[in-house]
Amino acid sequence: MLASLSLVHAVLALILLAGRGLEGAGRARLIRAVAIAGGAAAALLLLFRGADSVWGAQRLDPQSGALAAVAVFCAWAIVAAVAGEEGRWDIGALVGAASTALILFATSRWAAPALLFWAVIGAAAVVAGRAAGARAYTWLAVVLADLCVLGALAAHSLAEESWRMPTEVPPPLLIPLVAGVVLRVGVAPKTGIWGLMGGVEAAFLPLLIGSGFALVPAASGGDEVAVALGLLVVALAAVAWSVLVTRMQLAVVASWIVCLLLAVVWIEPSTAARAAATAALAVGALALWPWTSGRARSERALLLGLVPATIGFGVVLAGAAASFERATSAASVATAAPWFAFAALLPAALAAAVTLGASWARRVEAETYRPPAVLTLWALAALGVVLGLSPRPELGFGGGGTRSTLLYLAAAVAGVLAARLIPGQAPALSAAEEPASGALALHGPWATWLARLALVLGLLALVIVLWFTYTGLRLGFL
Amino acid sequence: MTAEAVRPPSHQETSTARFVAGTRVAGAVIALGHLLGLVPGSVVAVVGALAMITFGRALLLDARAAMVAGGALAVVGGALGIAALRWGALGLPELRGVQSVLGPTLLVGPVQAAVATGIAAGAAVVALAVWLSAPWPADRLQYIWSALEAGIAALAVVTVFFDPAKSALGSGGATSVVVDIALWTAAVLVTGLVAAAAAWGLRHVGMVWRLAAVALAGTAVTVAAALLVSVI
Repeated sequence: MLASLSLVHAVLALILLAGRGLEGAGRARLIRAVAIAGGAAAALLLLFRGADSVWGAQRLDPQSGALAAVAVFCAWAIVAAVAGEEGRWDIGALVGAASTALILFATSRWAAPALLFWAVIGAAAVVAGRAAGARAYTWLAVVLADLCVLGALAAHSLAEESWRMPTEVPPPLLIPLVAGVVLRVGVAPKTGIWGLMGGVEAAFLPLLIGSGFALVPAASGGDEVAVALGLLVVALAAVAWSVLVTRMQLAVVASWIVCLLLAVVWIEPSTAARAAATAALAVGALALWPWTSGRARSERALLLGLVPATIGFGVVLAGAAASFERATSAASVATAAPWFAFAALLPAALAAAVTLGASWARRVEAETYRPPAVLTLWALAALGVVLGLSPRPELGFGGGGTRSTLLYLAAAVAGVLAARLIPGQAPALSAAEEPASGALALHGPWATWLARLALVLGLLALVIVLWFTYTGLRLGFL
Repeated sequence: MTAEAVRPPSHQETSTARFVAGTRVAGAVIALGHLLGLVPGSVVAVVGALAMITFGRALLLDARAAMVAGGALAVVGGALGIAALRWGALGLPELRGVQSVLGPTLLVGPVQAAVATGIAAGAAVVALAVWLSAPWPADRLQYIWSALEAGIAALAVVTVFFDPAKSALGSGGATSVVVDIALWTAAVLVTGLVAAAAAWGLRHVGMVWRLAAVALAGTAVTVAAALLVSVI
């Protein structure tokens, strides 16, 4: 089952490759049909994530299955919404290849194949981003992340003489791993992978973010409060930035939500699937903003606001519980202090998410939307609520039990009924500029040199992967 | 009457108005479910429900007023967290249980702990007043709905700081149950009315004063946390 659910995306990529000769409406229809099929395959993976299917070095479990499925779904959703009309079959084909790689990476039990698939995702993003205006530092961020992660995991495997994916790494190797994850998921606002934001290449963002989140459980046993606290502070700084700038910047908003969710995963790795799914849905909603202007504003704000009954709230809940428990059980005040700080900043982060979400929902925008993109955004918002109500521990709010699920379901139904029946207070909406992508533009010789440097480093990463795989084969570990 | 004044609401205004009603009702249902003990939950779940109500309320506010409301929510969340920290438990059933045995959080020693939780409770009421001050209701339906939201927030504060129940409702006698419910209702009413009266006052002052009230309450919560950590 795992084989078919993962390879189907590569097959879809081949179909797009074969159909590249089509022109105009025919090409658009093919891209859209393939993307819808990809989304359906991702939904099947989500449904069968608990099948415990084993295929070679891969094992499907609920956590990795849910994580990969939602990220892949979001990537195909963006392709379906945008790439068809743009005629970008290449983006669809690369998303297909990278989707297979992400599923195989997330389900890998062994380091060598995992690193191969990790590198494939990065390589596909580099190729897809070749036409993006900010490609230089996007490329650099992707290949530097590759090098950091490849180096750290290869060193760990060789030192331990074990090809198993680690469950926790020692501090010297933690630094490059943290750096690799931070670069891969786009913690730094306006730079790195956010160069893909604003165009059809944004379809790669959920895949890159999903792969970064999938790596955290291998790197953290839940003790990395210093990393988490640093990420939370960066997240709050990004919020402050969002508040202070007059024109909304998608890359800054996206980095805020990714930072917050990643911070929680470092102290509670069991939330990786929920956090990755939330990040993928939120970034997907932001990526679709240029094509959904004037529609689905409140639905988008719900996803970004991390409110209860959406999947994001479960992450906040788990983060608060974990940090509170560690703070109250610490042996000394000094040990407890960072956990207290994290627990204290989390309500502020939730309040910021809610307030910003509401202010984005109040924007009056020019109605320049495309109906397929609006439908896609509604689908993402609906998925965010459905997953948020799930009683399964890897999704929803985790461990709340059937009564909690029923309460949240009742609240959702009551909310829908109220929206239909109660005459809502008319808000005074404010006109707003169209949001900017927010990615820093880089032109001229610097951009060229950075791009060349990234390509050289990318080749180096490829050599490391091949050497690592060869070493494994030679030593008989594989 | 100008043409602008009678124009029908736009699609964007209509959809936002629906979200205002939907999110406020959904948040109220979640909060009541946890606070009335129908579903076990934690302080964080209650803060999340208040956040959902805040989301709906903030849709009616301009950006600055929404930020002040968000700040007030963060302070209320922090203050409720102080009570949880006092007992080392986030769960509402645990907080109710320990208070039914030892007494209300505010009144249980050591003195520094009682003072710290008292400061946090005061800060929660101040922040709640700021939270209630905008948007101010304009018609009867909105007054009723705002009163319900004030009651829910007051119930959250009372549950963690001053739960007067001496026994679980299921295990006490009929008289005990009636007294407990009466005390509970009185505590919620007093807290809600104090916050509403302060909100009415804050409504008539500028945004700077509301912001100052939030900052003051936030500082008080920080002081309470430091005081509590020093003794537990």
